[in-house]
Amino acid sequence: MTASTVTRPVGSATGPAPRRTSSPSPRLRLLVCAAVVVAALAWIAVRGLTSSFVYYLTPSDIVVAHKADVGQRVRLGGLVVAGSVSRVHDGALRFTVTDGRRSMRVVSTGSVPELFRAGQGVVLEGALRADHRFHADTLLVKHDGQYRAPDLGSSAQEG
Amino acid sequence: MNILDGAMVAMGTRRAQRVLALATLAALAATAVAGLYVVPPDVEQGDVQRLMYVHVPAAWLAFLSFGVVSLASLAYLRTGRIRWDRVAVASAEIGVLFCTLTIVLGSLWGRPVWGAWWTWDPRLTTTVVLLLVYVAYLSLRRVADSAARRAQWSAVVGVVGFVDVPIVHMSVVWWRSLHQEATVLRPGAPTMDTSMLATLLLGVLAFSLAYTYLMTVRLRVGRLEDHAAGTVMSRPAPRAGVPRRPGPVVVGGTVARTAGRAGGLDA
Repeated sequence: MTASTVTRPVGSATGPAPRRTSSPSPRLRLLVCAAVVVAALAWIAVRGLTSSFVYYLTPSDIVVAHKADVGQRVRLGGLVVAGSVSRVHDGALRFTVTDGRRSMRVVSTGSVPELFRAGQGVVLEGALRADHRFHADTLLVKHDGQYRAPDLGSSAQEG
Repeated sequence: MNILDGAMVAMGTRRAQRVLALATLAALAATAVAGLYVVPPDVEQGDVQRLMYVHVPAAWLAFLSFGVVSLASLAYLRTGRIRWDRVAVASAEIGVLFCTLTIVLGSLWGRPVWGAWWTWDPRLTTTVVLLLVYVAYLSLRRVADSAARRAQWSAVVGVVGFVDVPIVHMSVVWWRSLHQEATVLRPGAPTMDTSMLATLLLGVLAFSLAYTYLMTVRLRVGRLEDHAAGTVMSRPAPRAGVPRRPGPVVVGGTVARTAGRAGGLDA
């Protein structure tokens, strides 16, 4: 440790801070290069993730592309088909989700968020079983990001 | 640069800080009143949608904070003036605060609306990465053994770390996600009623004032810290046998880079 040289300040206590006008030091150049490399790697990672990282599969992914095996735990996303929702005596919620091309029947045993309704986007966590239904234990509702105040003119408000 | 310096000095006075603090409190109170009582609840979500008026401003201010970190870090790397390092660290600390606030408020909002406190959706995941990057930034500052190295290392992280901000913003477009897409910062008109948008912008104003106020306070603390460190370092040489840390040498706003390099812990 040669700490004794540390105490010598470069600037003066009262004068203005000296500007660095010379060319950047080798260390700075190295750091800038490292920054560029890291940024490039990050960009590649993002591009890679774009194709490989999917938060949920669509019914088409499962029915057509067979991206999920029977029993494999995945997320399934899609729109709830109008008129398909029913709650049977065992308490499970049954409905169909669609991505516009293919659809899949779902049996959901988890809690149901208040915003769940036909036409809503949902994400389900569970697995496809041998009965060709998707058995979900978690039901998440995707909000469409539309915010509206209640229509004060009409008395009939959706609950 | 002189205008900027003048502005920073003007904002740093006690009087300016008192005015800023009062303006911040008033704007936050106005946001609370507008968000809780004046604006009607969302037709679908009901009252819980009011969380938007704090969640979204917190997220935007986190982005802004980290933007300031990257610009100040860039300015430090170009000029070597320690004041830019002070700006960067001040903004990073406040950004971590806002980013944490964003995640906590989003979690509170997600439970009733989505049905989950948390899910590894791309938006949420990239936001956690963002928080971790700037927590790492602050941790790195504790590792460096000299002020010059601390400023230089953290400036590089401060510049590179900002890469995640556009990724967070675009995550809902690039990947399938549970989080909704942008409602205001999007091509086309915002997908919300005008009264809601006005309240949201009031919240953004209030949070921006809070950011400015916190920045002025943190910058003053930073100046005092550096001044104290400089005072300590300019004392007479320590007695023999008393270990001395190769600490910051900060006088007149510039770090002694060459001196820091001689600090003894170089690889």
